[in-house]
Amino acid sequence: MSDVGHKALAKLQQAFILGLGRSGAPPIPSAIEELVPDQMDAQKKHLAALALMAQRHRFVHSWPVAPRTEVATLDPSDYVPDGLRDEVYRLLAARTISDARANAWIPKVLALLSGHGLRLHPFDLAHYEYAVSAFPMLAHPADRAQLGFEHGADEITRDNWLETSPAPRSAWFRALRRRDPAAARVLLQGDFKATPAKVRGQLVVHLAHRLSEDDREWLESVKKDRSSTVRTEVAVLLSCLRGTEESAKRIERVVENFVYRRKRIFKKELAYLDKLRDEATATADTSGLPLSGLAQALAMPDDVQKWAPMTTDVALAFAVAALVESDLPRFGALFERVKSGDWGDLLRPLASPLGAVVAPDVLADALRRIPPPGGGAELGAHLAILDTIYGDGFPDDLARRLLTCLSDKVIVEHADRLIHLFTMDQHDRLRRLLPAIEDPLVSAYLNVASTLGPPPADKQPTDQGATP
Amino acid sequence: MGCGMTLSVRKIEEMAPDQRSLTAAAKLRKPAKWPLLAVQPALGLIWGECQGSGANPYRTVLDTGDFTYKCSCPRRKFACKHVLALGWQFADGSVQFHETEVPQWIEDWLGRRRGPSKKRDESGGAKHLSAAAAERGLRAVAVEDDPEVAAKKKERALAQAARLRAQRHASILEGLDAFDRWLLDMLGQGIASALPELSTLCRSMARRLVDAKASGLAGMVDELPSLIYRRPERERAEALLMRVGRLHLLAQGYRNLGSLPEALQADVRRSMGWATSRDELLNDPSAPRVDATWQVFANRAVLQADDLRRVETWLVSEGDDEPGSPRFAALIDYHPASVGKVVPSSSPGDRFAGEAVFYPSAMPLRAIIDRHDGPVEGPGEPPLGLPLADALSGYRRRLVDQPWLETWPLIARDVVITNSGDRFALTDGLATLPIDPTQQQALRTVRGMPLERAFGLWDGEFLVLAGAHTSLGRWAAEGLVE
Repeated sequence: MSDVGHKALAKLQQAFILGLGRSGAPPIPSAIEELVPDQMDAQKKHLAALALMAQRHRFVHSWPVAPRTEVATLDPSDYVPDGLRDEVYRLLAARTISDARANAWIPKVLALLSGHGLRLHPFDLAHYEYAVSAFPMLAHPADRAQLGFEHGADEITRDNWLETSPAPRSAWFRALRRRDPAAARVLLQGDFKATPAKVRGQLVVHLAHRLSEDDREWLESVKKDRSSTVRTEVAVLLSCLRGTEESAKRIERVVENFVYRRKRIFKKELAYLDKLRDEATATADTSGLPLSGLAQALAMPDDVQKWAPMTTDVALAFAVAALVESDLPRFGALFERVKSGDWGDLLRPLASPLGAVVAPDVLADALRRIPPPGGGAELGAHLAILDTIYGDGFPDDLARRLLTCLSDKVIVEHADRLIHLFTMDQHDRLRRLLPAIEDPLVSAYLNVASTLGPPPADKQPTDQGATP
Repeated sequence: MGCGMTLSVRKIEEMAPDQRSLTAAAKLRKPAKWPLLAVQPALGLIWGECQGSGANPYRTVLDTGDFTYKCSCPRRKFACKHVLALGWQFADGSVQFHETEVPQWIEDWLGRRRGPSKKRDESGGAKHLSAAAAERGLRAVAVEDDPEVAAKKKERALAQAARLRAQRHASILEGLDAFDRWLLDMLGQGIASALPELSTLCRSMARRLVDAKASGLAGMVDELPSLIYRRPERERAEALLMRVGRLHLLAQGYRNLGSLPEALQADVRRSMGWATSRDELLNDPSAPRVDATWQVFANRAVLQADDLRRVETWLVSEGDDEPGSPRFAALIDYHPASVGKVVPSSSPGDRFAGEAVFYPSAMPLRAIIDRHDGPVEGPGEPPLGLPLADALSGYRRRLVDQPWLETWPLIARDVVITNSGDRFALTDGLATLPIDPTQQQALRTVRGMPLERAFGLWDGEFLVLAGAHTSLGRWAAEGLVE
């Protein structure tokens, strides 16, 4: 078939594609026809020609040579070492862990690896698509490029911050707000109208951090936002500022639940209405409210020492309200009234998003006065408060206090938050406890961290997710 | 771990159908959950009883030789969490497995499995077969003790088999006539006009061929739409034309079976759907046998239109003296699609010693393992590769000897994956082979990487890239066994 007529063959092929009925049957190229038995009818000859044509195609078809491609150089020392591949895979691929867990661990692992200048192993990279897309600024630029996430700059800036994915965007904005509240507000203010409602709702809550009178004017201007979520969040923030309409309304509603009830025969004490116990607590209801507003509404004298006796939960609620106003003396006085504290009542509101309205140094002082956590729930709240206020950098004395009360059980329960402590090399006690931990993420992270050791000085990680 | 028994935690991870099963298995790694954990090193078996929520514990057994397993739990995941937990505990050596006799339920399971390995027979495994099974065998022998009765029975059976074969052959020929009419109709209307309704057309023709007992050809017709639709639209008409041309060639080959050499007859018959049983193959003195150390270089699972999942394990023999021409073998198993993902018993990179018996063919490739001598430790040398152009020439040379050849393994050396837009290709700068478009996602992360050896399955149109050796180690393409 070497001298088969190409034109005749192409014509026949075209006729097969367009339809012999339509275009008529062209003659079969002689080189093919001579291979077909003469006694075949015309239709069968066409089938035979088709079969031979198809088989010929298998021999002669060629593919254009691909243009010269840039071949990467592979230096194993640029990548996660083989011995750590499985551990990194567990941490970053995490096919079934919850988003919350993934978002807690992924930035830590990426930061750890980039601190050592290591790229993700290319054979596993396809599984890290979520990790790299969610935290692109922490991933190695080459890995980002390989996965097609070039997507602008190496780090989040004030120009591109709204284009990044939700988790790193929130972390970046929260960090900016902690560092420079006015700058964060101005930035949000500038982009607010053009931002989708869902994102507006996600971002405005971060204004709770270092909330002050300076924010009042802008919050007042957006309290009639077209998104109900934004309206609700803004109203809550305004209620934490003294003298606002929202604060007055909320205090008015809350004080209805405070009553003086008889204690023994001659004494009365201020209590929170029992009938509401199942739905709310005094501390939750008053969370974020300033103490002076509450005291005024309840006609309490200025001097705390002259205040009537009160139940423990009310004293704790007022103590939290004192922190909102950074009033440590009154916090101390109220704190003394708490005999056997259910510290959870104090910690929970501080661990809630509104707890961020308390100034970090004030909150740290308050935490130092509270006994170390007695159980898993209290530890969780402690960690949440530290996380809310400080992000990853706990004050060392507070971290050490927490370490004194850690047990295997609570470590496993709060592994995702304790990750901040794992990175602090000096915490030997925690490291001694770790072999007992069966949480695969914790074990994997510690193996990676201990194998790699501290990052070299010239490759110290910059926590771009938290430092705008 | 028992003497000679190898099982790693990595292997357990590979056996797991998903992460959830592994997590569940991790929770079962407690001695309290396992009233019984036992091992029989001679047979390579571990088993145990796991206390579930019911009154009776689940019985779980795992063969560490070929990683087959059985569990009495009702879960529809394979391997289930009990099998994974059993293997995991054995692999990490955290729990003591007591060496003991194989219980009855495992003997029954072993008896049901296809052909016990020679190793098992040699080690006395047959002695463990149950008394009940032995009794059944004796009864059968007793009946056949009368030579006259046995001879008559055999004669009747042979005659019946010949009659059935003749009937099937006639039926297939009728089916091929229908296939020709279908093809002529398509050519009359034009291949291009068949494209929009190709799935319906093929499904209906495939059913007709199944009725005609030409199941092999039916499968190929059923597969046409997926082969065609993976291509860009502008290439589909020509690709379909070439594919149906090849199918007609097969039909003609079957019609003229008698004029073909014996080995090619076997190829054509098998392509048409005639099966050769394992016993027939093992008893065929002409079947090629290769005793070697084998290296798994690819696994692939294909969900067929007939609701079967075809699981392929591709092997290359080591130590071949002839440079650049390793001996390949394809082990093919079929599983009902309803059982979900099937994890092949071996992974790319695994090595074992054993004897493969090849189905008769002008170009032997499909095989079964007759004797499995156990795993071979270590990574082994990467198989020799050829420049891409030579590998392609090799394929075409084989095509001369076996014109109906479909997929053939290919090992190329010093190549790189490149892409132009969404089209990926393997190239060494002198020749280029297009890569299966369905692999685009899986290859993003290794494009541009120098591949010392690349393993693929070439069907004459596209290369399914299965894996590669690189300076970072062995890479195995994902998504081939989903």
